[in-house]
Amino acid sequence: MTHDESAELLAAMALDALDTDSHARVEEHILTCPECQRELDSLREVASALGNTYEAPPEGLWSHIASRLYETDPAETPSLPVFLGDFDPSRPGDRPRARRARGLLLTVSLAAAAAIIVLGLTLSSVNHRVANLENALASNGHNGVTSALATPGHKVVTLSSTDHRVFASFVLLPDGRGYLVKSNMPALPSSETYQLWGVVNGSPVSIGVMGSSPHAVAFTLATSPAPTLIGVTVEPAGGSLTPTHGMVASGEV
Amino acid sequence: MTDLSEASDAQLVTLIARFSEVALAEVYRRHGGAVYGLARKVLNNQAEAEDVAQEVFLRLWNQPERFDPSRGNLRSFLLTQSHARAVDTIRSLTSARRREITDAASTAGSGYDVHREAWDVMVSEEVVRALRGLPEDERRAIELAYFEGHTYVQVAQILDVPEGTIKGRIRNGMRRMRGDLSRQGIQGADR
Repeated sequence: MTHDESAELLAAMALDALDTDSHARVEEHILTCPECQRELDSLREVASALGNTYEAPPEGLWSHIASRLYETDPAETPSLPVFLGDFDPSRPGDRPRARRARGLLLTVSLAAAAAIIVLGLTLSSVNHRVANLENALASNGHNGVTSALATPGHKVVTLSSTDHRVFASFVLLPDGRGYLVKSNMPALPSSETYQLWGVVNGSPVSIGVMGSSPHAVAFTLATSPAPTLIGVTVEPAGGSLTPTHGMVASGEV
Repeated sequence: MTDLSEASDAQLVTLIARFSEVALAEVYRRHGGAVYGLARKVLNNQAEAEDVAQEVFLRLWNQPERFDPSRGNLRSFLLTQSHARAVDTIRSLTSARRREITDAASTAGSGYDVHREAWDVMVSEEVVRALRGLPEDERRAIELAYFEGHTYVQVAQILDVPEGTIKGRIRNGMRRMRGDLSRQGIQGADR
């Protein structure tokens, strides 16, 4: 489609008044034409002004929306290793992102749910922001560990396996951030993942899924009270809502 | 819990990207009535309008990065989504269901005017004035397309005029409205 042809159709497009074929051809042109994109954005603002009415939503609409926030899209497989990133828990709402753990809020205790909302459990492999977080982690993870070990009040927790071997060690900061410092975790098949748990009031609360071969892990502990113990289980890829196997290693906080 | 009532829309979307359900609830509080109201107006059906509103907010939750504040405000973004989905729904309906919607909109004799009056009381005076200031043929083409979900080709058939004429009326009318709204200091759909 030429620029002139596209320009002629932008007003109709802003009203959603193009057929599927024309819509697709204009969209294709817009990808390489900032001028048409700007014009369309501007005309869409006009269209939105026309539609800017108000009608009180029916009771229960928000509840329906809220109940679907963690639905799993069958087309997406949560396969990336975790929510990890260089987030700053001191910033309001700055939390690692995790998506679509179906029924999460319904199947765990209130305390666990609150923690999991914050900490995350699984994530969508198509969410490019997660990829961004992971890229950030790849470049900043080491600095995070180094900086954490230099932070006053930090605590190193060593996780030992049942045969008393050192399995992994984590550094925890007073603000709740934590990092994997050292790992002796053997690589798992891709169908499995290591999952980190905090034990709060005797119950395990997911901290995050670490992938099949953890080498850089960052997380935030936001449970209240803080966990007394952290441990690792081996779970199916994508993680579990509650541990399906016993802990392969644990350590007191 | 953090009080988000003072946060800007852009800040709320940033928080949604960080998994804040509270931020999404605040966006819903601010814009839910508009998103639902537009879908309800186009579809004339509560259940279908609810489905559209759910889709719009779930999409914001799942893909907040699609909102680019440099390209317009959040209300406009959400209304664009709501309208597009409502139109998708209406075009997927059987012709019988579509006739129901048209008939419902045309009850009480001069349905067009009744419909318009109901809309008039809900949108800003400036927008009403800008639309009413358009030549009748431009206004009619825009209303058939936007509020009844017709393509411009269908509008041409309804009004029995060439497609190119309708395309031109829509383009001229939209630009004229933009000019009017801009002179009144309105840039689209600010709260």
